[in-house]
Amino acid sequence: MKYLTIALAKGRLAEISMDLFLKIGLDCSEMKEKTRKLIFADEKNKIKFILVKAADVPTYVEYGAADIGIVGKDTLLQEGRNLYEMIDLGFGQCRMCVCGPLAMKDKLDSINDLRVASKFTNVARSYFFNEKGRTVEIITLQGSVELAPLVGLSEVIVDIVETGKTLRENGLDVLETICDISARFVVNRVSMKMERERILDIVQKLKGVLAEGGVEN
Amino acid sequence: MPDYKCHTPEGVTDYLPDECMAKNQIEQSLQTTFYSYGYRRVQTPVIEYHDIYAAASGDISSEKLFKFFDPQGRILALRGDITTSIARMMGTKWGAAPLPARLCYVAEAFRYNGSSSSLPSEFTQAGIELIGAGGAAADAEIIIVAITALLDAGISEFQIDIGQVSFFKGLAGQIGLSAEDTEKMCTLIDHKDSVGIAEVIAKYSADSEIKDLMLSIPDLFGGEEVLSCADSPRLNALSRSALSNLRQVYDIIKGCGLETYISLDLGMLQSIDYYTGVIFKGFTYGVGFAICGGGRYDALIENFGADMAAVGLAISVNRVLAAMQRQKKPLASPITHILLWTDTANAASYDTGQKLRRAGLIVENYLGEGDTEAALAYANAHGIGAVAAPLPGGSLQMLYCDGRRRIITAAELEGGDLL
Repeated sequence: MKYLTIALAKGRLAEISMDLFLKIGLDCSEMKEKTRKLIFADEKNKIKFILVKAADVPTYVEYGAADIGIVGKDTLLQEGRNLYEMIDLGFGQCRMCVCGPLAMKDKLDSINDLRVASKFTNVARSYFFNEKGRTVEIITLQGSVELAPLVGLSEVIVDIVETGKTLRENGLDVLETICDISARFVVNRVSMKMERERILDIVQKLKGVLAEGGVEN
Repeated sequence: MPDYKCHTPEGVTDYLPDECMAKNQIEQSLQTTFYSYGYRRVQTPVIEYHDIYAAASGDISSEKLFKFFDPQGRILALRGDITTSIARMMGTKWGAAPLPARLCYVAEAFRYNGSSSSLPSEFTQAGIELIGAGGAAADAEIIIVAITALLDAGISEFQIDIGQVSFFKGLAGQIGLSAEDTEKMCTLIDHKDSVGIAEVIAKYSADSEIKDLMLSIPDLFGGEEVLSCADSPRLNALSRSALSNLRQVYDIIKGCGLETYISLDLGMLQSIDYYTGVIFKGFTYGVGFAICGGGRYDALIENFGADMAAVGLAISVNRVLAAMQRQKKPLASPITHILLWTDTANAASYDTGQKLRRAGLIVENYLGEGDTEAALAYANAHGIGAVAAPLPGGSLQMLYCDGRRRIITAAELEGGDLL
């Protein structure tokens, strides 16, 4: 039997995913130990788990270096890779939003040269250009995006919002919601065909666990 | 300005001898299979007017084409695929010549994939087009040729997934999806994004059974059973005929004993403005992308002035090569290669070399200095199997790299049976 490789986004998503896999009988307990290893194997079920940066999960899966990935919808939207998005796992919930000072709310559609700072540049571009039909300037930032409107780098930002605490502490508010975000179970297109039975078996079991209430978010 | 003289542009590459030989063997093998089914080779120009892609979208949409201008300012493009060029050729030049036409090609196509992608911009496609023939028998022939060609090329574990875009088009029509939502729905189904599909469907009020079928399309893949899962008395004529076409194609291939290589997927919906019926893709281990694809495109040639049904196949030579390398499949063994060492100005050497070449050997002339031992060292370093040194009287001293020595007599050399 060939190994199936599952790519997990490092951090909290990986931890929740591990609990989920344990529930369906895949053993990735080795990952719970404090270690710098990035690759772990469940020899009994012939499954390898790899830990990668969230933004890289879709790339690993699209190229088939991993057969399966667990990653947030935000990353999928930003990366726009060609994958099968099989299950909404329900955890890691948040929203993709346009945020800025509350005073911007009414001006959003009227400012001529709107500057939008974001880590999710493709999401921002697709929302403003395609859905709103607006030409805007997109400014790429890697983090602490909330800062941009405060120092005059941009009028608004596009970012994920979970509780809104960071926003409020920086005097910003949600102006528009673009979409809801949660963790997704994605599959490489070729793997889906070549390893159909094993993958569908995992999908069915995961759906079963989710129907019973899933895991702690 | 940075100096790029030592680089190749993004997305293109060189093929060094070993890899080039391997690629060439695959191309030869695919072409031999195509010929054996009666497909005749054609060649179209690398440069086309951009206009021929006017109706195109998806993989050959304008953003993906390499474009430039001719001296009159008209927009030119490097061909983004070969099928569009062949459609133009058929529509404008075939005239009253008899149909169906069976055509094949092995050629490079060019698409700009963006700098963040490592997908190549220049790639080799080997394909066939069966033009002027509708119906399941023609659809099945193309898929059977695909299976045979991959097997002949040395790929043994693969799967051809077959879909039918009219099944989806029928459902979309019945639900009354707007053009915009149809496009959106295609992408969602193609990504098996059931959450997104449900969101779009919820906006429409239509026959709930048809809506449920649309919702279940992402799961309608697998074996023969897919056909019965998809069937419903509520289907409209378009969806119904799509299923019966797919059933016929499946049965023909099964009749050939090739059903282990095929599966069905009604959720395969790429380029549906291009494909009008059967659509398929081939997959194997070791490559994360389809190694071949194709389908029926009955409306394409119309754009070029002639109404012709058509179905075709394109195999990605680069991906087949990558699959063979990753699956560690042996490529055909190289022809025996020897090095011919000769005394300076030996008049008989050309003659001796020709005799060996006629016997099927690759004979390389030794241009270096020194005796046969020096030649043997050169042969070793270049991966050449042996050195041949002509002896007086027309016989040949052979020195093999593994240490063996042997004399080939003049008579043996004349006989030509040296392999």
